[in-house]
Amino acid sequence: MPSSPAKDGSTKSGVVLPGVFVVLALAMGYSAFAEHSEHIRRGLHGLTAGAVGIMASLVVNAAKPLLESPVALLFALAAFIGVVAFELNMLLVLVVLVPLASWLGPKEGTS
Amino acid sequence: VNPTAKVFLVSLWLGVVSFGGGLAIVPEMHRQVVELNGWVTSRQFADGYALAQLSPGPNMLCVVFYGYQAAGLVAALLAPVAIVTPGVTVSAMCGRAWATIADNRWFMRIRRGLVPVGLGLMAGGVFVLGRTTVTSWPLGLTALAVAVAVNRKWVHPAVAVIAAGVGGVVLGL
Repeated sequence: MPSSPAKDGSTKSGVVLPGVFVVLALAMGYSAFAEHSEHIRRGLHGLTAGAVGIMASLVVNAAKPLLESPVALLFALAAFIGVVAFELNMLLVLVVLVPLASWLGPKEGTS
Repeated sequence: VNPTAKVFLVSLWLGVVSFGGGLAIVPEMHRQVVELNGWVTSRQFADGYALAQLSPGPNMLCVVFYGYQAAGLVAALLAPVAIVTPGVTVSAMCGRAWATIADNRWFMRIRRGLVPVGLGLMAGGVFVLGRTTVTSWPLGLTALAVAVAVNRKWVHPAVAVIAAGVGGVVLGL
């Protein structure tokens, strides 16, 4: 979710920099070994399934406050279909759906 | 266009649509990195995303991985700079005015509209990653077990993901 940039600590270089080098090292190791080692390949299969599980849990949490609003769920479905089935540009999806959702969607309770 | 420059521009674009990350930009990231530019396969996209989740710092650091696969070291280092640039620029321009803008009635309305649309985009992110990675019943059960355990706060997310990885090596899920 886009968050207020001023409060987003993750954009400070001090927080991001160590992560950059960790991911870089992993990317280099991946290129060198991942597609040659059966063990690493199997580990990555488990790892990615776990990552999908984490993300699914985030989606469940995000969905909870909207479950009582059919209109909100329809907009969520429209965005899902737009990016998954039609592979639309995300900005197009936002520009079309966000104003409509704020006009027609739930008026309170979510932030 | 030079591949490193292309990585920079795509990362900048992802920064514009995301303001710095989150699950909601995964479908757009996949579209750019896999479909439009072919820098990685769908499988490699998911591997890079999972590895970035294990690393300290925000998830959007997966652009380091994609940048490296696309065009090497310089692209890998430029990509995270590019993706945070739009958010940093906006926050620098707004400065203390941010509080006023955030309280603005129209701005709050827009944010309200963002909630359901963002949910759909997040679900799209799970689908895009899941369709190439959750390819067997054992992997599906692994994903489900991690989702439940993390959602109920039984285990820390990083521990759950590592356990799933170890399970993959040992059991060959």
